[in-house]
Amino acid sequence: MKEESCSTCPSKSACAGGCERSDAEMAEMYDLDADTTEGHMVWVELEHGEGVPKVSEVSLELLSKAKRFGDQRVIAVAFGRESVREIAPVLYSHGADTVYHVRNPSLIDFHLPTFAHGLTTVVERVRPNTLLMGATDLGMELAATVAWQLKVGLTADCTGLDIERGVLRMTRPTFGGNLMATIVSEGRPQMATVRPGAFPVEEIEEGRRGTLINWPIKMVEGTVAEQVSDVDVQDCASEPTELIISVGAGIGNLRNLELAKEAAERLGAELACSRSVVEKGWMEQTSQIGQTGRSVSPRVYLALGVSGAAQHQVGMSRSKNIIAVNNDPEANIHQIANVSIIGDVGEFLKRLLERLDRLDRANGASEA
Amino acid sequence: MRILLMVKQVPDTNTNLLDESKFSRKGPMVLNPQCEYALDAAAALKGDGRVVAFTMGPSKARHALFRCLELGADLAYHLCDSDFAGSDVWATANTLSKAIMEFEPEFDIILCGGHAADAETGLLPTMLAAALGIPVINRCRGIRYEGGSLIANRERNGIPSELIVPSKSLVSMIQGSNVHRLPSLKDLQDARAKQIKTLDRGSLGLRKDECGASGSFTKVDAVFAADHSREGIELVLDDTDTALDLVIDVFQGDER
Repeated sequence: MKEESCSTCPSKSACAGGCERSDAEMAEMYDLDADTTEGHMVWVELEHGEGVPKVSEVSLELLSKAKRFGDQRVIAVAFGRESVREIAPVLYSHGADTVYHVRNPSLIDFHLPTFAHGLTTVVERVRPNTLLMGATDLGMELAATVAWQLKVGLTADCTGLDIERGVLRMTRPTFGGNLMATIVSEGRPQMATVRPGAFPVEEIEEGRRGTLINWPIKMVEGTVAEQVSDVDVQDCASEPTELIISVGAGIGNLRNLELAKEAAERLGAELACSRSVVEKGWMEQTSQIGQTGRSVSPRVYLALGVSGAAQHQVGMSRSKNIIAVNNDPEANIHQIANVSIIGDVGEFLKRLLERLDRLDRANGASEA
Repeated sequence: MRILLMVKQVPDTNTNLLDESKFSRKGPMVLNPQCEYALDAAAALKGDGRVVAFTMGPSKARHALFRCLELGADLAYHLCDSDFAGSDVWATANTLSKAIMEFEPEFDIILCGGHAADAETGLLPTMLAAALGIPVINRCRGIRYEGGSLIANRERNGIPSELIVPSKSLVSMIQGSNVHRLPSLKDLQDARAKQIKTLDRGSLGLRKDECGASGSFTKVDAVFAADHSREGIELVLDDTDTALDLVIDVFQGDER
């Protein structure tokens, strides 16, 4: 089904026990497109749990985007054990022409020194034109380390990417989200980390085929911090949120915050907030949307008493539908909203909950 | 404990940064908020040790160092040279790592803020650690001594964990406590006796093409004002039914 090749030995069977050959030895034996100096390379972030790892959404977004550049082949690089092979078809269907499976039997968790070394060796072999990864917690660490090692430029947190004759123009929000800067890199590969949700996944081609290349590496000695106690292994990125209710300083008081919580629960939405609410100590920093918090692009973003400072907009302006409730008609949030409601947030919430009560009763009645 | 503290001075993002749609550095400058967390952690962990603060920036960036000296740092280095202007993250990591290796190579830990409130790349801590060849712990929300070890609370990918901080690592903070402490009168007096040493390109032994804009691999090609505005409908809450119908419709899947 899949075409495979491994440079390390003539055996066509899977190397279940891992490969003992060294990178250098392998690079020498390796003979595939030796003159290729182009390509868009994407680091594929995987969520390892039971069984087959799951490909993070942002990696698929980047493969899809790289394919839409339409000028060069797309190379995906995924780290992990044997089971990573199973995800290759997903990577092909999203745009990858070639998948490098960087492997080692001990390679499970993110280990920065080994990942950086592994990715650097693949980059040095393939010599891609661009190297893209998600601006996630892990992507940022890996990108910064690899950029240092390769001595190339790195642009963080991009929300726009264009390619013109091989030159990658990387656009990112800067200075509190008030400004956008377009950045170009000298040297190759041109490296960027890209915000999750910045680009859609388009043109999935089921059954599309590609080439899987095994790339065994050695674990790199390097001190990493040890965990004091085990924590539950969870998915490394949660499912993208479809519905968000976000509260800002205009929520006014804790009573209104409770109403917002109730509304979120009943509408099946996540409750999030702006920075000022975190500073008040009303909500956790993990719920914060914006420049110093998370970036989201849900189907619906209901902003309650959010003024819409540029720093907040950076984190939510790509939401599909923005509904803003704010009694200040001049509030910035209204400019970026699809639906602006000028009015008191407490009053709005009260009436919204009443309306939901009525709907529930009506549904209950029709079911009965 | 010998602590190195990397700080940055940034424009106060609570004030308007745009001046005729151009970024302005003329407004008030402050110590970067996440650097405050690092400063606070440094003061708390110092014990009988010593805290040395570093910053790179124009001459007025000294003010960020004053604040560090008032709140627990014992000595400060100001990397200040017009040749450093225009540094990208690679050049900044390179310059800071040279200063550390040259002037303060003996340290137990390096503390810094996770993100700068202006450029906001969040890449510097990891890149500086890579330049120094030391372990890095990012996204730290607290750091403390316990049973002879230094324990960091990290939250990565939304998952909290407690980590033993290896000796000679770099820790970047995204959260902390007791921020924006006010120095006491005694703190202010003590700070006056402390020294800020200025380091220029020559004192770090860097060639001109190894730092600043010419030592950087990225170039800003265009800058423009962000515009996220949309065509929308405006309603007043007095028209409750219309407003709520719309909200519920949108939540249930209608596109607007």
